[in-house]
Amino acid sequence: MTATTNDRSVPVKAGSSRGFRLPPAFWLIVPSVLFLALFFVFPLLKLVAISLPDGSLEYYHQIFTTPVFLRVIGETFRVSLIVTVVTVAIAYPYAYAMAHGGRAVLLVLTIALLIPFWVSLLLRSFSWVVLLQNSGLVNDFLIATGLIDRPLRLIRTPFGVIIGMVHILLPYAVLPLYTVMKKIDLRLMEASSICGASWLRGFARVYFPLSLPGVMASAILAFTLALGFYITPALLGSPRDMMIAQMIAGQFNEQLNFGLGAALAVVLMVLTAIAFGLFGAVRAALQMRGRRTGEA
Amino acid sequence: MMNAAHQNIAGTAMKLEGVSKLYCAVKALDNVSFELRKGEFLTMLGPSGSGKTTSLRAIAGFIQPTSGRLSIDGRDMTGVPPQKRNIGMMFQDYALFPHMTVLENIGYPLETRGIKRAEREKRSLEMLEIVGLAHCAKRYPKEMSGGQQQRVALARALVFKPDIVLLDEPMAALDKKLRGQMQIEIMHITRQVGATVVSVTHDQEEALVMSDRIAIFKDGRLEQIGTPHELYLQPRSEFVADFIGEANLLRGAVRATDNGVTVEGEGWKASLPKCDPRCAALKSGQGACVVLRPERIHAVPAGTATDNAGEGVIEDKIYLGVEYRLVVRMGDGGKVNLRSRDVASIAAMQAGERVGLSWSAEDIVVIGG
Repeated sequence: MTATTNDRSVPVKAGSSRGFRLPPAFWLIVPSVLFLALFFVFPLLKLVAISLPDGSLEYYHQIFTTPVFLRVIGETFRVSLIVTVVTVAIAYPYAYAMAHGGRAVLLVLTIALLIPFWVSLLLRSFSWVVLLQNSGLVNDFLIATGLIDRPLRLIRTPFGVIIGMVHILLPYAVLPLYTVMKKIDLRLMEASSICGASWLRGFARVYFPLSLPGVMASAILAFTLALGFYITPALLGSPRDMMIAQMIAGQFNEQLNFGLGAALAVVLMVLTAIAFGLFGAVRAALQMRGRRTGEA
Repeated sequence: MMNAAHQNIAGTAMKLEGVSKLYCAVKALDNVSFELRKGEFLTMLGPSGSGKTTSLRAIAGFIQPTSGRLSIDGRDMTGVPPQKRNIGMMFQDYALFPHMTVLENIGYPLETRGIKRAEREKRSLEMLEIVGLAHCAKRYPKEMSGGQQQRVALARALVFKPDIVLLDEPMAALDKKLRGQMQIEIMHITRQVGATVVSVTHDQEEALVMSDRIAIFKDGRLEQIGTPHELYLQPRSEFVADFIGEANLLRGAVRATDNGVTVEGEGWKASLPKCDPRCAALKSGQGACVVLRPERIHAVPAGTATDNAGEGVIEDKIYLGVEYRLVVRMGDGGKVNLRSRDVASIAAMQAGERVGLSWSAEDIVVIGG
């Protein structure tokens, strides 16, 4: 034992005496770091600069005092939250089936999950228009079966926006859930049942708590992606359901108010970061609670 | 001795009647029947794929037998899910809940039975004390060693006083050193709480150490069930003779004589007197297998011919301190192992020399067919 520890400490000492050295792997990430710095970080800083002409906060003042901007920001968060909850709720059983349904099920579900990636976002959103419009497939079917007399307003409503967004976000939400779930040993559920628990109790006390990291990861991903949605709400929603990304685009493309557009973009970014932080805090709180109940 | 103590506790804990399990066309379990007595420690022993694990999972309720009947305490278990069977189980890799503390893990079966928190913790702590881990109540499973985790799993399987406790390969996840110690410990703990235990293993030594009775499985069938002593002294098949303890299997031909029955091979013969009830099963002209335990064979000078004797060439002579081990090559090339504590007389023998082997009729087992 002592011999091995000594052996190990020798090269470490030699290394430190020569001063700090970058690990060889560092050079492998240089291209991506350079790329991001040049085409992402630099433009971003430029954007922040545009939103602060001569160091003035006028655009930000305008955003936080104009009701329409506040309403759009509020609506963006509301829709994103609903979309996140619905997406994760649908993704959860899907991921469960992928993780524990056997090889054949996994193959079919993975293909079904990945096919939409081969179709452009624009095309998929348009498909929803075709399906959901007043003379679309869904309404035609419901009328033909006699369930309704007049077409339902499915499009140009928050409902349409949520459907379209959930559909697009589903694969993103499924994958982190699947990754966590496939590592959960199903024998724990057998252990739970032999301990006298019904499947439901075992799920609530054993499976679900162990899958929570996946739920959190998939919720964070879905929510942050949802906040930046642009095409889908534009096609499936009414102007009243406008989300912040549409408004930013409007400022740049139509109003040509680059300063305000940049300020809105910065606000979106900061709010996203705050949402991230909140998720992290919830996660930490959950872990704390877990530890405390453990000690109680 | 311990067996006698258990027989005082009357009653059948579990009964299997003609239980079979088919996977596609493969018979994982083939018409298995046996009874488990209350307070008994039964081990199902067999090589992998012999049906012992399938039996255990059928008892637990994780799989349903294709045919046959399984009853626990007189209750038919057909269609009864695991959670309603009142069975405790220690899984091979323990299956402790990683997000719960040791105390919560042990309290879980009580929680599912609607027992209040205070009572739950009291009983879990008592159980923890029995397995000697009272100081670890607030730890999480991954903060403990393999041996400690096993005790927690055992405590969780015992805490609710189940009708039967199942142990699935209890020693498989432990290193060799710890095994012997935990075998004795598990035996003590289960006896202390008066549990009825069914264990599964492929390790015959473990089965011998821990069990009141052993059920030997082969190819989905129950080969033989009995106390370790019975299985060792009266194996009913070559498989059982070979599986329990060390055995020399000599195959020969049966011949009826005036004095009884003789089984003969190249350079050896074994004889049973006429009055021996074992003679009835042996028919002249058929083949038979003679089981000789290494410690029941005596090394004698070559040429000492009796009714129960053989002769061969010493191939290896190994000194093991308390005893000698001899490997003797017989006329047909087969080898016979013998162990002898008569160190003085064996010391004089040399490898390459001829040696006589002798045994008494009571010490051999003859398996016909």
